[in-house]
Amino acid sequence: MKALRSLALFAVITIFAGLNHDAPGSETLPNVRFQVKAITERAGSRQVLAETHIDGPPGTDFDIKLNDPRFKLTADFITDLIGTERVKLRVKLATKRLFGYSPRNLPIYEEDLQQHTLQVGIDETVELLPFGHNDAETLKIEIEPVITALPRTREQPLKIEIVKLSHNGLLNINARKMPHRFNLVASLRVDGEEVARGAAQYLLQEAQEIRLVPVAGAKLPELALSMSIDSYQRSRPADLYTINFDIYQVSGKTKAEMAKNWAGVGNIGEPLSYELNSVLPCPGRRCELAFTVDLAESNTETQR
Amino acid sequence: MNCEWHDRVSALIDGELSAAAAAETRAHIAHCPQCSDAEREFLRLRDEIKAYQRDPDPVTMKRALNTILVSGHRPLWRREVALPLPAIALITLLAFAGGALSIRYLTPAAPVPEEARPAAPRIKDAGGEPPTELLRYDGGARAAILVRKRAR
Repeated sequence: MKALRSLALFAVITIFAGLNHDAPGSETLPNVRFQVKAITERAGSRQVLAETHIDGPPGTDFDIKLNDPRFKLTADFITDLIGTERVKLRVKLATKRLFGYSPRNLPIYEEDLQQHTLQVGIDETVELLPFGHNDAETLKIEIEPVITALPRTREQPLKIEIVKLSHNGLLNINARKMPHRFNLVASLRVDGEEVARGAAQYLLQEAQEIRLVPVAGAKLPELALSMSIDSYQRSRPADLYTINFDIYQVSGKTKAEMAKNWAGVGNIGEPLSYELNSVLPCPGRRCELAFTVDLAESNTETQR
Repeated sequence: MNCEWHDRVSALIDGELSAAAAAETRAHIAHCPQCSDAEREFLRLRDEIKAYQRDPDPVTMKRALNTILVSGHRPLWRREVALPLPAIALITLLAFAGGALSIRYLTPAAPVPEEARPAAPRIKDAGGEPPTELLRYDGGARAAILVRKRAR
């Protein structure tokens, strides 16, 4: 009897543990917090100049600005959750340093622009060094991701909490949430009839290749597209996106470029078409390439 | 109506053109039926004049003179300029350019003395500006970003 009672208790505990697991369709949603600190380090000692926390759902983007009369830094972060313990950050880093004055007394600046893609685990920290390493005293901006789970019934707003205010407005942080993941379908049509098709999920500003596979019975050269969805903009009557793509003809292991740097603006959910007669041999017929882009439901990328 | 190269054809026959202009005119004649006809006419007249006796009769002389006058042949220094204005401007420009190039290539360039060369623009250092809060961290290095494991 006692053994049976223990077994029943064990079964109940197991069931509850299974219910609390963060599986698809579970009662919790992932929340990502970025703890941003501006710190100076000198001879092993650290001083926190400013601290701000950004909370939001996966895919929350933010930017950090350093403002000084002689130096300006802007770091734009596009973030995405990978699995449950890693965050992908795509960073555009721009700096502008006053160099001097021209003979006409106009300011001359030294400018720099960098782009980086980083993957950060929950046990790692991103260090942004506006002036690189300095033996005397180093200024750094530390960004720590913290991934938690919030009950699904609770609202998941975007929140910026200023833990320690920076002196003289030295550090400014903005955050925003916009779609990052899209479902794209590309269709090759001849005289309006689909002859090849390809589909993939795209991450904002990340290029990938998509192959157009001929439909059953169609005999035509295999095409591949190297493309990216570069931007997304809320608009009415429909939200807008921009794409950039190259077209290749694939033959075995070789790829012949047929079109380079084609670009366009489309409405979410509506087809965007390009005539291909100038690049594809279609004598007497009308060949076109059509894209349809929709928002993806999921915000979490499957860990690769 | 005569082609606008008509006078140049006449000058060519008279040996009054430079080698380059003569070559240009011959190339034009090869493709212009009017000028080709004019050239033949000028040459015929020249041959006729050459063939005249020392003491031609006045009637023949007058007839030849009238033929020349009707054909529009005149000495170059007596002719009225009938070129359109853009052509005159182009010829003048080419003449100046040719003269300038001749002077340039025929005359060796004198070396520019050191003190006469324009000075490079001087950039005033920003060091005279008042120090700012971030200045003491600036060693002039490029911004960097990296990922570091957190100490447990």
